[in-house]
Amino acid sequence: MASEGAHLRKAESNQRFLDTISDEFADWLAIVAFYKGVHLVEAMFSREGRSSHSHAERNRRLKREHPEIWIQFRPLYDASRWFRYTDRVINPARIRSELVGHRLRGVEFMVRARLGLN
Amino acid sequence: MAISEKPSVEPIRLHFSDQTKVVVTPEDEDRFMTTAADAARACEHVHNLFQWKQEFDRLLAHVHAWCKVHRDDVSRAYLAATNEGLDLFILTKGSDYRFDFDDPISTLDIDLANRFKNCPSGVTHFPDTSTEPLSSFFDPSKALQLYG
Repeated sequence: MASEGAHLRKAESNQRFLDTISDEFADWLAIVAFYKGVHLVEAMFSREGRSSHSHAERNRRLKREHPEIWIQFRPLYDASRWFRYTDRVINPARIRSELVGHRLRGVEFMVRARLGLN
Repeated sequence: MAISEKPSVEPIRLHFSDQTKVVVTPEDEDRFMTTAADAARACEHVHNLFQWKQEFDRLLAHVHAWCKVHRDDVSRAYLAATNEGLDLFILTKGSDYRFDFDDPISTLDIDLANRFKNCPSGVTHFPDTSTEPLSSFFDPSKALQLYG
């Protein structure tokens, strides 16, 4: 199990990568936003002494134990699955505002609050 | 006139620790022997299965009703079984990914988890377009179409 600190460092690394992604690769904005969310959530789970072994396990636990975080995290999970497969034109501004600016920010705020980092 | 009372019939009692031999006679007369303990476990299994089936049927009806309420947004709905449980796929009308539909989907997802604890499921939504095959997400031939 990776440590809380390792997950937070990975989340920060994902953020640095997010900051470099151009509109041309908007699908990767959604995917990297999701993975940053994963590391934030796993940092919280690590603090609680249990890590997840699959997306399904993480999702079930979030839904059951942290529904307010799940409400922000679930759209990241859904959208990353969709945008990874679709070849339709993607509006990068929507992804930046809805996923990165809204959902991911919401997950980060709540996780950091639980970890006493805000 | 004398009223005859039916003799009271004691129920057959099966205990999980009872190793008494029990002969089971199926309808085809192909008898077999087991123990009262195993018979008790078999009864419990069928009882649990029956309860699960009832809950599963209620889940299907609930999702169908939810889709009807959201008929302006939802075109189709499928339920697929995976190794991790049940995956409910809500296909939305229009070709764009519906960011504005995330919150109703999350509400449904949490509602299903609270109502149907024996049928854990996850809810996903994406646009109902002809360009992306459903098989990228699930096998439609093995999924139940609940709506549309």
